[in-house]
Amino acid sequence: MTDSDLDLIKAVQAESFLSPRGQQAFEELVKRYQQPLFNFVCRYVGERSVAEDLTQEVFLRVWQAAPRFEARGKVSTWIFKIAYNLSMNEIKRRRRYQNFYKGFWDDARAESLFSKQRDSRELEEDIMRALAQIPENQRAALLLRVNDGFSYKEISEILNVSPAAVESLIFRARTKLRELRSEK
Amino acid sequence: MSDRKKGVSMNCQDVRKKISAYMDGENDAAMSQRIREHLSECAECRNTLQAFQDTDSFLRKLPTHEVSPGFTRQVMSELRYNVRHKSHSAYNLLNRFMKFFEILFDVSELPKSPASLEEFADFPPGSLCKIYFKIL
Repeated sequence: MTDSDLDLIKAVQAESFLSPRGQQAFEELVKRYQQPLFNFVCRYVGERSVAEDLTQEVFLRVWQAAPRFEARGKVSTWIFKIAYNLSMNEIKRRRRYQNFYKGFWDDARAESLFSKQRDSRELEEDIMRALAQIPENQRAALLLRVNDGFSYKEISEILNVSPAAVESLIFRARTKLRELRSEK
Repeated sequence: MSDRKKGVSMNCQDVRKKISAYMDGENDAAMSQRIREHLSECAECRNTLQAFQDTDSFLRKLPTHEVSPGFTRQVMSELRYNVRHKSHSAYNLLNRFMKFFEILFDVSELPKSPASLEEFADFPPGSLCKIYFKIL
């Protein structure tokens, strides 16, 4: 039987990190969350080149905060909250938001990161361009709902707003995306 | 669409505000039922719902990117480094802390034999201290 996320966090809390069991538990957590976190950060920040570093930083913070984790909420919500805060800080720190998405696609082209057909890359570019035009909090709420499947309550914990505010953010994001698509 | 059953039916404006949450299954049962009833009779609101659903499908077409192959290993070694570095720093900090107190106690250590009162009697003649000392 596989351990639940909470079991893994408890194992990290109980053991010294350098103990084999502590390391094993944390490694399992990293394997579970690296993909969804990386994709969320990538889509939210819009720059692939920083997404991997940010994801790594998220795990470092998760490990540092693990002793203080209280089992009141879900582990996934807690981890995504850390990812959201770090990504927000990154966006604020760089202060070159307008160039974020441009940077993402320049990187993608230069490094040939997408081995798929050109059509699918163009589609991705379209989606990312549209996402870039939505305010940051609306974009985060919509991505967490549609791509990561979180409930409004969970998103409210991640973004630190009320569930009613999440409903409004998602509604406005969808309306904006719809408008952008119909303009095209 | 007009309010067919006043007080129970919803108008288009109200439905459109709630249609996003309806799609996500975030409304309560009664609200969902009222929206369903409205949608069954209102083509315009059905179009809105369809447009929102298309928008979500559009977003779900984003490909999933893989992290680089050695990512897990890299994270774990970074953490190990941090743990060792951190514990090493903590050890150094504790050592310095102890050293500080050691020096502090050395400096403030009292002389082995208590000093006699006469050792403090060399005040200038006529000074207040001398007078006070005489009274003592």
